[in-house]
Amino acid sequence: MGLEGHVSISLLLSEQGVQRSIVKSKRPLLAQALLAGSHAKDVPQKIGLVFNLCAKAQASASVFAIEQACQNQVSDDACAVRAQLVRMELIREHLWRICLDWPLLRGGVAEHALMKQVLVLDKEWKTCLDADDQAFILGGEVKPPLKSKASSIALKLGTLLKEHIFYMPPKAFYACKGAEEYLLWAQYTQMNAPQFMQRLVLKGWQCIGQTSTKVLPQFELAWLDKALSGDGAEVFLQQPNVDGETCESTPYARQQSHPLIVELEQKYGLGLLVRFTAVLLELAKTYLDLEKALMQFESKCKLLGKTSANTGYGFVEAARGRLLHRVVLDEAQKVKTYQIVAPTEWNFHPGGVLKNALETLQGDAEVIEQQARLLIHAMDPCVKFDLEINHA
Amino acid sequence: MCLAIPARIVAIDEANDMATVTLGNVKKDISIALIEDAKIDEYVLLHVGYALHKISEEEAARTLALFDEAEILEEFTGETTEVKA
Repeated sequence: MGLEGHVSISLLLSEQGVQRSIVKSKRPLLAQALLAGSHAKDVPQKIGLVFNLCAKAQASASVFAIEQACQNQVSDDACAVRAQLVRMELIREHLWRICLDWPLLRGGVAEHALMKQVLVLDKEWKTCLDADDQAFILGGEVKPPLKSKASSIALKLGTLLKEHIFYMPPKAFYACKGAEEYLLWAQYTQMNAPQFMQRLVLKGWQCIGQTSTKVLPQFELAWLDKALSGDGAEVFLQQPNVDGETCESTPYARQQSHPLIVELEQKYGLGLLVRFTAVLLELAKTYLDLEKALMQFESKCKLLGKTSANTGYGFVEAARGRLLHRVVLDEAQKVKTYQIVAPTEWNFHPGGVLKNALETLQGDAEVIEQQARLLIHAMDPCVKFDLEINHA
Repeated sequence: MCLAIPARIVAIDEANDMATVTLGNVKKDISIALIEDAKIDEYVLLHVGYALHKISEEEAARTLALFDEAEILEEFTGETTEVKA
């Protein structure tokens, strides 16, 4: 098993279609091994170094958990800067999929030059908001960013989204309420994202992978305490569930009440079109949130109630879903227990939403393989995956 | 879990925007299309076949030391890892 983790998916085909799918997420439980015995003040930086793909989301969840366990007050400036860094990271990660994965999935070429521009903006944003690396330090001295500089970077990002992704300002895209209008956009806009949607339409694959799924509910402290401190905690970390039921934590889970998603879901069910559309809506929405936060000061951090002494929770809505950290410190403020529940564990649960979606696939093996790859990308495992197809 | 692994560039294929990187005794071919001006002996963060961005030798050393400390890098590479001086 590599450090990066790995998801293996196998499909057993009968004449009708997929008879059975097996989803195995083989990701090492690194947090406890890396952090046990570390002093609380060192933890968020270690987390940011090691879990460096979504480093802002990881460090943010970590520092909130540590602050709660240490009963430290968090400044509003720190909350605001962390939220803005996480937003840019979410945008970058969605654009990664759209620029690098979606073109390949429709037989095209990855948009490396565009993604390079995104990475430059991501770096500029980090430098502008947190040049002194204080945002994720326990008690760090976070200053509000220079508004004019931050606004100029946000403007460049907005222009990039308009010119290369939506062909309209993100606000106009997010305001799209009708399926008809959306499908016309997909049909007539010669850009990667709409053409990707159009390909689903032309193939007649809008409904593929329809599932009825339970969306991960808001966390409740008492329930989390029970799940993460009992005998079954290690199993929960790898195969989380809510009262025995698997849940999904995806862009769809966060965008399901958007009028466009509601209408598309009524027409096509919760299949490929709805799932990929949710990614685009979330991209636009996150950009609007980022822009809005530049104009008006953010409200307080989202924390999970009052915990028992030395225990803290931090959670963040990261690109792939909700990320949760839990820490228990000893009296010397050293880590006794450190647990992370990542979105991949919900979405790639062996009995979860991907398995159920894959088991709806029908047709010949070649088509099933293409559709399976699309479904896997729609739920985005964040790590490498293998897809194996066997015949019954 | 959202890990990107630091690795050292040991060869570059400029025509194809590809590089060979090494981590311990593991070698991999990766795309360097997303980073500017990659050079041999520089460190990059790897993620799903791409060099995500360059990192300093110091940051690579700190990250790899954390893995070594937790004795989990050995499982991956078959050896502990030192950043080349």
